Amino acid sequence: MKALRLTISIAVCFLLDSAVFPLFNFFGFRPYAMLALTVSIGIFMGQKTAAIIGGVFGLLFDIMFNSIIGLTAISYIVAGMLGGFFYQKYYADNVIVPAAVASVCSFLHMSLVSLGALLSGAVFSSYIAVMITYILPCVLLTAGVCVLLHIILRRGMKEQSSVTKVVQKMTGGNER
Amino acid sequence: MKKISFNKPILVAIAAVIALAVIALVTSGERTLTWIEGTVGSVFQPIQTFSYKASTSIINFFENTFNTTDADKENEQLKAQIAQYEAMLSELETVRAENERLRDLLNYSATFDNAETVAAQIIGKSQYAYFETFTINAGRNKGVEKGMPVVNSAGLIGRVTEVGATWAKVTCIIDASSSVSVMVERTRDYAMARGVMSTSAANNVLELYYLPTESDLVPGDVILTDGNGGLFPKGIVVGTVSEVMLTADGSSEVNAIIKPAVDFGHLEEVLIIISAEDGE
Repeated sequence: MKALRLTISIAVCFLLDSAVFPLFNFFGFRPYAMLALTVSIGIFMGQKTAAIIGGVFGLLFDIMFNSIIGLTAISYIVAGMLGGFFYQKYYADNVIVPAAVASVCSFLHMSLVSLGALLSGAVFSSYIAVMITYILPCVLLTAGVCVLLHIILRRGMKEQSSVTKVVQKMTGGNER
Repeated sequence: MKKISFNKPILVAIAAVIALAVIALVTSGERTLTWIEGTVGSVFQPIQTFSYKASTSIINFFENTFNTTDADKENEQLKAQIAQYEAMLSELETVRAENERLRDLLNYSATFDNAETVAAQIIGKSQYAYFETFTINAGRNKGVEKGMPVVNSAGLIGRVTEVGATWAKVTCIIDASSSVSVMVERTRDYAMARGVMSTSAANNVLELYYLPTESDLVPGDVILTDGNGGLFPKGIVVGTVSEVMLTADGSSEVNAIIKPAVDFGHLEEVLIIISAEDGE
């Protein structure tokens, strides 16, 4: 059941990020649902599981939709590891920590993407203007989505899920 | 070596350096698609096509429902019937609009007498405002190759930058890293048009550079491709001038603002020019 809940969450977030938010967004601002989910998975299941899931889907997004391969994958791996840092360190009812981690991760992610765009030859006025007009609204939306996902996921994440056990078997060690 | 393999910060740092090296390699100049990327794209292309179409249909249905002004005003017995008719109407409107767009594309492709064209649908868009790129459901299987121009009945959209077996990625002319060699239709002056980053594709504009200082450009002038460099055929509409900032002393770096002819916020089908006409 936990694996099913996680699979459905991943599928829904993938669909939202790939097909819904590019079409339906708030004046160009949009949350990054998969990033938010990766942070939540890290908080519930630890660094390795979240990093692997984030890396795989980040790479998939890069191949399917984005111009620079690896940028999203790196950001999602880091998001999984940052979220996993808080694994078993606080009460699961707390939604402030996931929101804060998701905010930091999405800010770092968007900053990395803007650096990649600059290196690719994009021309824009200034980083500060981009940060205020685009990055910060997306960060806030991502934090909001992370809170929602965390509330949905925490009901079934009281024990380690079968996905984490599979990852442990594959890596041949403890989660930490 | 054991210490390194168990030391997480060092592992993360090594992974980050490797990843940055890969990114540097990827962003340095021209690159070709690896077989891994091509295979992954081909596997997920049908799934993405279905999910993108489903999302578009759902969004169109809700937009049409909220646009109706005479719904839900009558008694409760008619409400269910009206909702049903609205669903049917939405579906018919979608089909009618698609029919019109495809008819426009067909008529437009007929203007390229000696050029072969391929129509394709958009199945995905870039996640970031910095990159105005989208994915289409046509690849090498339909003769699409890297660098081919992409247009629709309104004008120039962009060019193909990556090609897989059954999919391709297109970079739009409004992308912040895109430059197009253009000319003013009325005065025949040559210039360069470059994309400007914007959070919404519907509000994107192009900036005009390198226009001769003696040019008498005015708002409303039509901008076309000039065919130089062989990237785009000559004579494709790029946009219209909305604002002129050209000064006699050439102090203004940006000469004019161009409103693109294509509505990038509502693209669904595109045309790829497989072989362009010679000398035009």
